[in-house]
Amino acid sequence: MKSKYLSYPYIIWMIIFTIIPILIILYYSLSSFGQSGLTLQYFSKAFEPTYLTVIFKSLKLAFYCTVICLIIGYPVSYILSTKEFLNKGFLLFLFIMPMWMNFLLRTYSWLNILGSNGVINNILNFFHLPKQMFLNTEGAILLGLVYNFLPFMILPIYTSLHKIDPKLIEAGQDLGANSKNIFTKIIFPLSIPGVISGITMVFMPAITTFVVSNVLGGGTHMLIGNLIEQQFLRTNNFNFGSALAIILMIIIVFISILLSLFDKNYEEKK
Amino acid sequence: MQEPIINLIKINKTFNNNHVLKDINLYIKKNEFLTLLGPSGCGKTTTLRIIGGFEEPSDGELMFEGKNIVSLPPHKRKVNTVFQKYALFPNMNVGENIAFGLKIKKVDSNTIKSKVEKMLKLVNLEGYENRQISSLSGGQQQRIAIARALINEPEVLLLDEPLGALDLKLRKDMQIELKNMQQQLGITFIYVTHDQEEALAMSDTIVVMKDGSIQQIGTPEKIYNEPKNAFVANFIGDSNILSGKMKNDYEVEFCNVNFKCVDKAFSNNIDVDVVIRPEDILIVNENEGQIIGSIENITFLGIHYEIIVNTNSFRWKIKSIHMPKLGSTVGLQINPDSIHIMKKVSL
Repeated sequence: MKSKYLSYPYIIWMIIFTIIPILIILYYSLSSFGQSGLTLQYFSKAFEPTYLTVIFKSLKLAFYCTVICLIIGYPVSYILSTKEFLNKGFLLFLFIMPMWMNFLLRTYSWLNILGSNGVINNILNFFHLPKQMFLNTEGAILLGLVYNFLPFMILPIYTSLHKIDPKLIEAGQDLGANSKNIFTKIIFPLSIPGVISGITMVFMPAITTFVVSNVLGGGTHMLIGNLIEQQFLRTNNFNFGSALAIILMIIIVFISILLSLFDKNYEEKK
Repeated sequence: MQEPIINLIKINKTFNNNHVLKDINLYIKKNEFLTLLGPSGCGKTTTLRIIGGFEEPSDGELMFEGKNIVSLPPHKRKVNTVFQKYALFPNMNVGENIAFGLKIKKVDSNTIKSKVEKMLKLVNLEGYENRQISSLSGGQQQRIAIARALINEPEVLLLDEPLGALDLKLRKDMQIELKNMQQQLGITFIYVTHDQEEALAMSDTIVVMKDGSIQQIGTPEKIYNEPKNAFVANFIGDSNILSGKMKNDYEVEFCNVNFKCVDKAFSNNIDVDVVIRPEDILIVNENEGQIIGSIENITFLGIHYEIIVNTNSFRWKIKSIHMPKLGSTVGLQINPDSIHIMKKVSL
């Protein structure tokens, strides 16, 4: 019974800082300034083509970012976990180290690399090649997203691969499996929980970000995060901002449920 | 003589300057139950892993049916392994685990299904196909691991302390089952254990190892009754090991008494180890004994008593079904053929 009381502070914390704010946002999204009663007008506004484009662009960039992180992250984690690198710890450290630096600082530093007078253009200039515009493109935003969130893909996959008992791989070899069979039938299935948490940990921040798109997109590429920020901080349209926030939440919850279905499928087998 | 199925020729293995196997020469006959026995760190598991293909020897040849297979990868060898902690695939159920080897070989699914059923029957787990590995007890997982290896019909089955994690009762049952399976299927078993009773109970041949070299190879009876040195004698069963001196042929001195024995002297007055099994010593009246001592301790162990007799120069361990009186003075009698003489080794 003691444990029940111990959970009270946490429950109170959750109520004050999570549940009440969500209810307030929900209330805002369903009401309108100077109007009584509930309304769905802000939700329908979100489905106007201008805003739908923004939502789809956010989904697209977050999706690309997740796929690229997976494509880069899985082999890296795999190599780190299997090969006996002399400096395995150091390599892992290199991948994680950027996380210790301030997120904004990391993102701003790309300005100096990609900018019109940045490192890359200086090099191009040196070879008398024409200047390239890297900043303020979707590619720059995608690069920023991948750069910032890649460690969140590598770490969980590395952990799940690292946990696989090497005896299972030996057992596979013993039963006649070549390296390809061992990967597809033993290693990959056992790393699925890591892949799923990696996807979750990359997709969520990627779809909600507004800093990366602000800095590297130069304000010309509107993502759903930027749109919400704008409604709250610039146009003071709390109701529409809240409606957008709720829609974003629904998208995230929906995707989480999809992913957890995969996970559950795996857990059941286990 | 029958052609050996596996032949290890001068196998050496070094890990970072650590010489773990020293000139291992060993042949294994077809349908033999051979046990590698020794304390931990003696190299028995490394020997098994070399046969399985998980380790490459630093030097030496490994012949399988007459061909050197030293550099053949494990998935191409006609041996299968039962791992110490089973190493069952947690992402597959019982049936999928057992079927793994056949699926890799792309055997058709009907054949797989009937073979899996046959294997489950063999290990007494009929109807377990769809159970999850995590829902099985240690003993059941053990059986699945055996079934998963045997379904591939290997020429040789390697078993790495497969019963180590089971409780005593289950272990005894599994010993009998394993032995029956081996005889029924006619497969060569190479078994690694540190449990001497297990080795004695199951094996056709025991290989006693210590510090990376083979101490003795022989049948269980031979190893128990005629241990080659004091280490083997001490490791297999209980022993009283004393320092003695060979006086002449058939005469040895220990505890300041001359005893008749059945061994010839290697040379006169040479220091030897004398090994006498606890069950080979008779407790008699004080005046009938060759040596005299007092009963220091008695422990009841079910079918016999373990008695410690102190004779000033040595504390004897004796097994007897009769209980003497604690503290009384008794005589000890040892038959000449119970006295085993061996060259001195450092234990």
